[in-house]
Amino acid sequence: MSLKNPKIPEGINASQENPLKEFFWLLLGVGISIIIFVACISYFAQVLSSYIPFEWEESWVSENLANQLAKKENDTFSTSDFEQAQRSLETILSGLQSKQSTPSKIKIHLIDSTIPNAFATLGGHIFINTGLLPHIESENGLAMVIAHEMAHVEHRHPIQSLSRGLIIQLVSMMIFADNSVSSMLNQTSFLALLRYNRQMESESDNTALITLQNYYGHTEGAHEFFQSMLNEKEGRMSIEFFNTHPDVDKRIHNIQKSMPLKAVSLTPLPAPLAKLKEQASTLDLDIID
Amino acid sequence: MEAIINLGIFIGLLFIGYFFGRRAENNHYKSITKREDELRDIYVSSERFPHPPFLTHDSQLVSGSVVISVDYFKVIVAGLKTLVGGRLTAYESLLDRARREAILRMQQEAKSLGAQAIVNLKFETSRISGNANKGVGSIEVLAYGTGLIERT
Repeated sequence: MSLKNPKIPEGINASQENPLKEFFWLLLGVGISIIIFVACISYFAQVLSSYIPFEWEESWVSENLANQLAKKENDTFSTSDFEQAQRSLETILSGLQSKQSTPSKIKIHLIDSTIPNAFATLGGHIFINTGLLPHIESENGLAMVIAHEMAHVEHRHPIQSLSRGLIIQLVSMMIFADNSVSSMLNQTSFLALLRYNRQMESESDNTALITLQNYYGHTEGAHEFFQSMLNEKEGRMSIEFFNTHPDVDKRIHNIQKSMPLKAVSLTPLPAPLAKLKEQASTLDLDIID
Repeated sequence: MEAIINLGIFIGLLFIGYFFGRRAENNHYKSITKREDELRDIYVSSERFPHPPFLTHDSQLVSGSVVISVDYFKVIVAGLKTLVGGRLTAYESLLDRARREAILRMQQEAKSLGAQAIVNLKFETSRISGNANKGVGSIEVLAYGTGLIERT
């Protein structure tokens, strides 16, 4: 007797379909869900973080930590010049604050760095690089930069962008199955998380212009720093600046709209700052050449 | 930068997994269908007792076992699928190949013993390796049954 196994039809136990098709559908579905999830959660993080008490921020970033960040011991300038310049900055700051209805506790720090930049961080600490001084002509220009950073603090932008950045990092670590949440908090890129979006920048610009208007009676000279950066856009120093500050053209335009039509006199830089500016300018040239 | 490198490695592994895994699977299926045709007259049944004409045959245990590894692509597709549920087609084809290959090896053994049929077919499936990483590393399928050899 002879029995034979029948031929079994294919495609019942195993699918004949190309697995790539399934893969791309899955990737698309999961990707879109993750994007929606992250967008929702980062939006709420940003909204809710405004309710974190400012005192908490201050306790996280103490005066000591801020001084460490600022690397107070400068190598380029003489100590007395640097300290006097620091005091002048504080004078401008308190002047601007006197025109605010609810002045927040803001600490200003001068940093010895050739990179032309200024930034605001947690706890109301504002950092001004000495590399910024050669790019401004008058006290008005500097006051605009300070007022802008003050506005960031006032609107709670540092804590908002930190919360959002941490949430996004947390989700990405969950997705890539990395459990080192603690390493995330220890990362030195802590400050790199503090990137402000366009909306935050323009909000701060507007607030800063109002502050300048109240203090000087006009907003002439407010665009000095941006204009100077734009003029040497090709320069090596400004690449980083333009990476972190989009739409400089638009911002200058906005500032100029608010400027008075008739000529007004600008306030000159305080002597200690002018001195530092002169020294920093020669330094700047050395490096660029 | 580190993230870009990691992403590059991931995509590279995915590509290797897809390319080689797909090629191995296609070749395996071709070989399976070819050998199934060749061994069609070694009759396999899951009945416990042989048909009457085989009652006077000698009986002997025959078995065939196979281990097949998943590829990286299958792991990723299955990983994504576990989020939403549904048919794990990536693993279905893997197990289908393994079962059929195990039967073929068992038939091959029966043939070399001079058996005409196999009754009481049974399967065992287990996964080996990869338990530590939560993923399926590779699977083993064992097919065994009673080979019926004509007395001479």
